[in-house]
Amino acid sequence: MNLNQRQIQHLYLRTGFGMPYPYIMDRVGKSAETLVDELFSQSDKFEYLKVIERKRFTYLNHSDLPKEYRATLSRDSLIYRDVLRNAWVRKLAKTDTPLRERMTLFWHGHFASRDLNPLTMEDQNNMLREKGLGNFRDLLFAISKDPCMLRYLGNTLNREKSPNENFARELMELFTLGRGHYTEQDVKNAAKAFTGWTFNSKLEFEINSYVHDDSEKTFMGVTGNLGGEDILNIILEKKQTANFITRKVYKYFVNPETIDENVISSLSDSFYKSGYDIGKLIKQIFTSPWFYDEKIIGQQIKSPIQFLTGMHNLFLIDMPDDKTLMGVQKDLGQILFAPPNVSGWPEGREWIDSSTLAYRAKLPTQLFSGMDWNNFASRFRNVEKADLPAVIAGYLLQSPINVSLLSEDLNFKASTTDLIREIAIKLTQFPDFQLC
Amino acid sequence: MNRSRRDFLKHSVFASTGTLMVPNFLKAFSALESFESPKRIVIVQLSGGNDGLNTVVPFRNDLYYNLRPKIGLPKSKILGLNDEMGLNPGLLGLKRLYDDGMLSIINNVGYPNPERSHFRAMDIWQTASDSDEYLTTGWVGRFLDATCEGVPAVPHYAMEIDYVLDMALKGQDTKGIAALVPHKLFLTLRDGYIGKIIEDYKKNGKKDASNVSYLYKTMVETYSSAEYLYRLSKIYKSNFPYPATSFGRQLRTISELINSGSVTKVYYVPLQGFDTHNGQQPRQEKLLKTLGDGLKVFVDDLKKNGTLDDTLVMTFSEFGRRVKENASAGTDHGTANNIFVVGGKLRKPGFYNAGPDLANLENGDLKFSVDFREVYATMLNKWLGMDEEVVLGKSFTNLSFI
Repeated sequence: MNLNQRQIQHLYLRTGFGMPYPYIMDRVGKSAETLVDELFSQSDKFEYLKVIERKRFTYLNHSDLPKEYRATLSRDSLIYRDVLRNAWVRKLAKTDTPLRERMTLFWHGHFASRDLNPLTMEDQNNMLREKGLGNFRDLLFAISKDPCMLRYLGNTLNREKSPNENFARELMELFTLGRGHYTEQDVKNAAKAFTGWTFNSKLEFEINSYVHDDSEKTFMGVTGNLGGEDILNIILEKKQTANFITRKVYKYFVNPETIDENVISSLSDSFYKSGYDIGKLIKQIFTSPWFYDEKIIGQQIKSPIQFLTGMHNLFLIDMPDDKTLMGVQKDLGQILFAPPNVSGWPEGREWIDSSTLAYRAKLPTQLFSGMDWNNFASRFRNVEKADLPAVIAGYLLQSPINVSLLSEDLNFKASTTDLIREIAIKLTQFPDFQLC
Repeated sequence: MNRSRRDFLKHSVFASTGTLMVPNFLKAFSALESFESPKRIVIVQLSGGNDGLNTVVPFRNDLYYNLRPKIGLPKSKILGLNDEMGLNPGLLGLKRLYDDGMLSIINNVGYPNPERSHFRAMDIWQTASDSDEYLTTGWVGRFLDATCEGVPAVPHYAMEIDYVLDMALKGQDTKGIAALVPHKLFLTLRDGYIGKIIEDYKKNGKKDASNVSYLYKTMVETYSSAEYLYRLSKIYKSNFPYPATSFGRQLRTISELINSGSVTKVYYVPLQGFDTHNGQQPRQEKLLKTLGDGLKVFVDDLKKNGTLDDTLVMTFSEFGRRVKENASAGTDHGTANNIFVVGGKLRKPGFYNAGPDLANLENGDLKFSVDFREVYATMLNKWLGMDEEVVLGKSFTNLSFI
């Protein structure tokens, strides 16, 4: 299937963070398969996020840390938490591996967790980056042994004498099966199987056998001296897990409002048969003709991170300084490494209220200060002046607007750069700019 | 709102606006008149987990001093309310309200299987969920949904005086509005191109269930609310001596909105910094002083303007703290806590129920006896005239503090 400009923009907005105009135009007429293959091959070689000093912040977890040092390190952990947050936003905006980063962002919301130690968060993020396009089984095993997650959901406190069910419950409710597909007894027994799953002072996973419950347990019809890995295997045998993950992927990448059950059922069948190959699932979605249907294009509300990274990619603006960037994330309502709770960010309409919408309408104008408009304008040098409103609207908005409304307010006698600038500023104020 | 202020409001609209602006504002104005009751609530969110036991102090109880040798407040400093209980020295303002019968203290408020994470506990309080239930709408938001069902949504029915809208004020179809300086919202929107986009949408735009319609609809509502709040800001300026803190300024903003006749049903204001793991006493006292001093002036302001009797203030925090102090002269995350209710027409001023039983703890934590949703249900039902089941999903015992 050969794609037109609008469909290509759609592909890059949904699989990444938007692309510059010439990048899009170079690919008009190419097939979905070709472009998706390109996205995958770009993602093969990737860079980790590395801004946290390993030795120093591993030390934060030592119980014999001298008191004076602990105070300094705790203070620094707050500073580096923000360093980490900003570093990832910048990485997302500038990445050469958009699909891999986008998957990492998806899993970051799916396996939502946070920690006071920025190092465990960075480690988790790199694990998600490494495995996010691979096999869901590997990913699930890794996240279940991940220090940030183990601590966040209280599994470090899960001991034979005083079980903590938090991880076992969320594992099933939010990470794999979904509500209604397990019993309270399953939660209790899974919790027993995970007793002792913790990490050591080097931030490495380990099972503390002294507090592990070795008794016989029954989980989803299987009885035996079950350990954590057995529980994960039993969960992965359930087709419902494939269905649950497919549904979540579909809602995130395709359409959060209306779900085509036939599509879900066929996608999750292949996902299960492939042995949970995430890359294959993703490829199947983005090469399917229904993904490029008018019902799907331009219907999704950009998340704050999509909005912000999109500003960088669509307009070539520089990202603001660290302090401003933190403030912008806060005011838009999404701070990376700080999901609201274990169920992640509620996507879609939840992003938009009166205050965030008003803020989104005025933020571009602020980000434009100091922007090189000649550079932006040079991308449209082959376009007739009279066609500029329609052409730029076609690039910036995936939801079509009445261009004549825009045109009647423009000064066509102005220089081309000024005209383009005026068009761009006005277009960002249309509510349609919030869609992708 | 009394008749003269309403007339004044009407006159001021026509006196101060160009004809272009009138229709929108009148639309909002007619919504005002559709409300039978002017009753409103103000919610103060003490973020971080306020230590309730050093807020309302059981100063006759030896267990209190045994468990808190460093941070237990000495009797001499406590503002006594009765023979057993007194307030933190920072709460002189609240003590005055207590003496005037305008404060009700509800003890031991919580919920089953309490959560100790700030984020999760705050979620539970804001969404009014069970502790193992994840909801994506807030309880005030669902109140908005029910109030605006079938009519155009009015975001300023619920206002948070802050930059960002908390989950509590987000409903499924209707969301409240957040603004630190409400009248400035309109100034930023007015100067842009948005007015023109909105006018065109009203004439030609699609109105369906799609996301694009949702965005336009929200923009229209935002513009109209912003304009309403801007007009309102010309009506009443308070010259009461609010403390020079951001919380003081936020309360002044709320008072100005109320006394200008805003139709807002719920105001929401956060006060941060209660996570006192170390060096608790001076920090907490300072925060409580900010709270108490602010609320005292706020009540005086409303009373003078005849709006106090229709206003109910509630304070809450996401959890209380552990009974035993920690090694750093602070306290760690705990469970049940007290709630303050302030108003001119309380049915049960003073102590609503007995204070915590320190001899009967659960793993070193206070046991709850009042579900926080009973407090919400009471305000919804008895004050805002809304069936609590619609908002909370099930019915809860109504309390008798109002």
